[in-house]
Amino acid sequence: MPDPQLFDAVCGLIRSVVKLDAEVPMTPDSTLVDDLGVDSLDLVSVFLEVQDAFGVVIDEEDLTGIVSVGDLVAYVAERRASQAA
Amino acid sequence: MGRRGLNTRKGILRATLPVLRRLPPRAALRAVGEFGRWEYRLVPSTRNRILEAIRQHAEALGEPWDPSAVGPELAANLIRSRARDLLLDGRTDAELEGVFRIEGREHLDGATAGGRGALLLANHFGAHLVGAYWIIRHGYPWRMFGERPRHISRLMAEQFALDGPLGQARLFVSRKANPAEAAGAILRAARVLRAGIVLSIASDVRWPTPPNATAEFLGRSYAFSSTWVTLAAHAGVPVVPMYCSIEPMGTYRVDFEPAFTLPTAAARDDRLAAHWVQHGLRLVENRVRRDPANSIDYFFWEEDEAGPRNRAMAG
Repeated sequence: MPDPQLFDAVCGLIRSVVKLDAEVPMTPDSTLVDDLGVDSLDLVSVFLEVQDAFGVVIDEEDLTGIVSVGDLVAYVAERRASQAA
Repeated sequence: MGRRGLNTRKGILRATLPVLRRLPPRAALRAVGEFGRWEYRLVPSTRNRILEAIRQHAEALGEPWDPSAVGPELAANLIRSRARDLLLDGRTDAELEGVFRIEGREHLDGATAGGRGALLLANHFGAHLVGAYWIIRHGYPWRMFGERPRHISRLMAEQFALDGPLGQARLFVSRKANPAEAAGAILRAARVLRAGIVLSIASDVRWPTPPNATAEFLGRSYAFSSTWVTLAAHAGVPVVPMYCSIEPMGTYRVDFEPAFTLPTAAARDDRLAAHWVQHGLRLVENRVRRDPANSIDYFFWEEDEAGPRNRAMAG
């Protein structure tokens, strides 16, 4: 289960970048491309905003493993932990 | 241009390159242009196709071009563009003296002053790869974002083989990439720009899937890649338009136009992105209007997609 605070923050950021309606449900299992309709342009914006907002560096090689909102939240949490260590 | 014509030109070039490389570069480039004029004079189907393309585009753009004057020059430039930068390989700086005429270099140097990255707004006007050759040869840290070009000089091939996080090898994109791969390539390109590298990306690439925007070009409406807008807006770097025209006397003219920057919002606002995509295309179209003989690619885009039609009809 992802950190609820981090999950809410990432969801808020995705909603803001992709301009998702508030009624569109977002769970850790929601896939960015198929469920939320995020295209490659939006993905770039999401990843860049995540980098700036959470102070993490997203490695482009890792992007193919970030399929769902939960994947993104877990990735951010992991990067923050490894950067803090 | 028909496949048969292209193959004929490629064959002639392949057969004659070893000989042409023994000539001084300007003489070699003039000779290549002469092949094109010769084909134009002697092959009615080539001549007619070229004349028709010029007439159609003159009508679509409302330009008073004389097809019989533009035709031989366009034919010469068609084959010179096929030679890409291959005739520049292995030449000394002294040998290349006089091959390039550079205008507006101060715009590039101003944009990159202090080691800043800059987005070089490229296109398929004239001999676009030759402009890149000049950039590499003059020591600018340069990468290209786009599909991998083939049949290139050794200098360019070495450049394209650069690996590593900021290397060229991972900046080539494919039309078959999925959204995550496409996003990864754009992120990588943004990192390259932030590292103070000059990144060349074309403004005139028709692209059926996002990130793209519909824009008018040469009297027709197409979906064009908007990646350059995303990159420029996100990275906040200066955008410097560049053109490389083929000139009749075996020379090239490289033009750099004044730099401009994009608002950050253009990366996330579709209408703003479309505005900038159209702006980039308008710059290229202005070049086409002034120099139709360098409109090598555009006049021969596939007919089902690219035959000009009235703006009023364009969707």
